[in-house]
Amino acid sequence: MKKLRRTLMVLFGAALVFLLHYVWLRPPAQFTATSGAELFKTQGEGITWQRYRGDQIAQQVSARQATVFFAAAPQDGAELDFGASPVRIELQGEVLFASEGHVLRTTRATFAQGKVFSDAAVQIEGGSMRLSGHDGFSYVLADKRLTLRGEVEGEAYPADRTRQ
Amino acid sequence: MKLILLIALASSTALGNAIKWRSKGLTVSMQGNVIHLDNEVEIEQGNVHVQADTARIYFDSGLRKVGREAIVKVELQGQVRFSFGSGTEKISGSCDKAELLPAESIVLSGRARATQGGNTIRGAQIIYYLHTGWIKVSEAEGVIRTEQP
Repeated sequence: MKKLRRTLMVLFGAALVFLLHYVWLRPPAQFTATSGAELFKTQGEGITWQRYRGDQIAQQVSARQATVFFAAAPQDGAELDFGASPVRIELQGEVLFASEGHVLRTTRATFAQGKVFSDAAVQIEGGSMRLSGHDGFSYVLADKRLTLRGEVEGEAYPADRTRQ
Repeated sequence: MKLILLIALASSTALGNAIKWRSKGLTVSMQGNVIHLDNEVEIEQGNVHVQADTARIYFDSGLRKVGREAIVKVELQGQVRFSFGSGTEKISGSCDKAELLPAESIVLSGRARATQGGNTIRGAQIIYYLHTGWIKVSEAEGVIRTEQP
């Protein structure tokens, strides 16, 4: 009888731990993409995402590491739905955005709600133009509006330069 | 009475040089052709320096056309302070609004005032021609210091 009571208590404790784990200690809705993850085309140890126009690369995003956040955590045992839209993507280390010949470099950036933003320093190059910001940036994808905060520096050549 | 005054000075070294800018904030639509500089703006081209509260830099084609983002005009507004040239030929002054046309001139308007050495000239508008170094002042009034005997 005593042995049965002890066994029941152990089972009850195990059930309690199991419940706590799935109800209170549920892992966050997060998936960390690393080298070889299907969501990204990998390059070296980092992650590169490319969009082609014909056989030319029109846009490219790369970073050392990307963390992709979905609205809900995948169920245990279920395959991760790569077709589901991520709600946020965090890029870390040697972050590069290239589009239409402009290249933006920074150390960390976040994609969320139609924006790319960061509080890190940023350098932008394209043709003869150079831009740099020390205190972060935001870029609205819909209207391609770029805002640099804090100390900003830049340069470009005047239209008459080719006539000199 | 409207008076136009022309003064010949050393020509600027600005022509053809890169236009550099510094500010405390920037907004640009990569589909458009204008960069907005927001706060404590400084613009520099060769020996031309202009400071203002805000500025707009206009490019001849949209910024998405990489390699063709050439500046055609810079507009500066609010507490504009400028200087051209160097050494004894240096001219400095202030106005409300400035327009830099990189291939041609700088147009300074609204309570424009320029000083070279001890000579000061004021006018509704001061135009500094980058090629020749000539200055044209409209509705001018000023104080020209004479040589001491």
